[in-house]
Amino acid sequence: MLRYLLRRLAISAITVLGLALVVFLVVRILPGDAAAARLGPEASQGDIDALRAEYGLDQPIIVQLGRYLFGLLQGDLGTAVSTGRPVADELFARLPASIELAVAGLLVALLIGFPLGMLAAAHRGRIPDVVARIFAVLGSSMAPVWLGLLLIFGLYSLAHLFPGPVGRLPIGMPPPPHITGSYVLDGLLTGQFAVSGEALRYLALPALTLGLGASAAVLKMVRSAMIATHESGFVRTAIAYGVPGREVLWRDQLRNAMLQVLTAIGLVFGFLLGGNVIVERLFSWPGVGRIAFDALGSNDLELLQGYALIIGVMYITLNFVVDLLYGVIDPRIRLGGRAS
Amino acid sequence: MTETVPALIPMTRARRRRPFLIVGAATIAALLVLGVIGPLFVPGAAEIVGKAFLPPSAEHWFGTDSFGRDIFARCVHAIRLDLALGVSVAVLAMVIGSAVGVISGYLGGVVDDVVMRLVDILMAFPGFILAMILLVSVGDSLPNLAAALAVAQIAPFVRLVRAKALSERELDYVAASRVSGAGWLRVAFRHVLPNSIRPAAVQLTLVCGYSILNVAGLAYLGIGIHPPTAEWGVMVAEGATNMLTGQWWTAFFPGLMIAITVMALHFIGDDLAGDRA
Repeated sequence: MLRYLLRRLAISAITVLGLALVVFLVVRILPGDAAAARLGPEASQGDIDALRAEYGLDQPIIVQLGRYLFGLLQGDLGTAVSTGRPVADELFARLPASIELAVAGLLVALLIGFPLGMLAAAHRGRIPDVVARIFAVLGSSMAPVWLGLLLIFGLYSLAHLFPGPVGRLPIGMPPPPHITGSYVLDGLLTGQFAVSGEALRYLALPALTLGLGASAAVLKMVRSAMIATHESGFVRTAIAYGVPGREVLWRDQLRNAMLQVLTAIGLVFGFLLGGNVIVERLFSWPGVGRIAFDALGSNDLELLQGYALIIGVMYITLNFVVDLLYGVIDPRIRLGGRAS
Repeated sequence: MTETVPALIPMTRARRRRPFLIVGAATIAALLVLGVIGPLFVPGAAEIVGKAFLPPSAEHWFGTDSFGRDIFARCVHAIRLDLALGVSVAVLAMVIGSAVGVISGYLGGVVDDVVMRLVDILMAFPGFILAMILLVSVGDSLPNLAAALAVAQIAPFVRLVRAKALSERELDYVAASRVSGAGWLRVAFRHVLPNSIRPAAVQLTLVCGYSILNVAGLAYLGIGIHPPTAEWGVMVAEGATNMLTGQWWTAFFPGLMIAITVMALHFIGDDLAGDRA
């Protein structure tokens, strides 16, 4: 197990380093000049040069890369040219909002996708399967913006069930004291149940937008995993020995299918992270995706670089954890030494 | 999102009824026909045909937008661009990804290790974010958009083809080709690749769909394709604010076109992948 763990850790570390390099190189090809953009059209060339020098943008690429990597080791992601604040501060301040949204989206995806996937597999080829399949295709065929707009129009504009796309809380309502960073949880923990309830209502539509799309992927993976285990030798043997169908389903099939479900969670989380720029813009959600959107507008390469890096690192970390869980659940993987 | 395709059923196994394939293929065929001849019968994409924000009616099927342009006409004009983008991105990603995948799987060793690490790095980003960062870096233009979206989708092709090539290279026909004097490039591309490409064909249809969705997502962020181009994603983005003020049709119909197209592509892909997938 230790060897397996170290191997996965080494691979993750190499990937993070590669990620940092790729992000740096990609972002440096940026055509716009962040310093000029920040100072506006009236700035003189001298001012621009001074600002470029201040941020080290006038140095050769290799020097910039060296500084960048050295800074990364100390948790320094550079300074956001558009706001003058450290990139790390900008992003970490907004990260809890994004994580709250992503986790809520993941819950929605699992709550919808998991039971439907099992249902589809149990009735393979029959009506419930066809319905689930159509639902899955539908879910992955809608542009996230469009789905979000439909939900806003239907559940806010027409039905007035949920609040409009104006952020995490009603305007004027102070957020609960910071404990976890999730307004829903912090409200519960500090006894401000009204705040918690409002936060949940504001969370519902963006989480539904993210989760509905992702639920299709969960459904598909649960379904194919259940079918694969259904056709495997141990299930056939169990059935041949007369083990009741329900017991086979819950004990043998589901437990073995969990491996692939773990993969699903990794992939789905990636999807949720990828979708957050769009959903956060649509719902005015003050998370890291919103920062990325603003950075696009102000041509702030430092900030975009930090955003890409933080998303990548979260994704790699999550996949690392998934790999570890694989090893814990399935001895074949940790003993074989290679999981891919 | 990126997902890979599980095991395929053998091509030889005949199946009688394939409703998903038929529905999917018929939809795409109808879109192609509409895309080719439709623009001859509808007003121009930029033409102002009436008042702004006319709701859907017999005269303007999808209503009119904030400039008074006919939304149905614009949706029809957009078919060519959207399908062309989806297909070219998917083909580009497949050609590059399959070539890299077959070399990596066939040669193995250090080459394979390096390629797989690179793939890991590419896959450390959600495809959409990767495309976004790339596009911002190289600058907005149609070819750059296609290239950025393609790069973001290469990794799954590499993985799929490599996995198949790994098992193919152990087979007798590969050995036979080698002992008869074929070089590694020839064996890899002439013999292993054709036998390893099928999982990639399924991925092709999926990527075609993702690309159309990603174009729409990027358009909403203000990059990629810009107004006043008649493109479904741009139209959804333009109509987003109208949706909140009650003119739902401005964003609804272009988004519906996207959903129908991507759904048809998924139906085709799902059928090719077999009913286990």
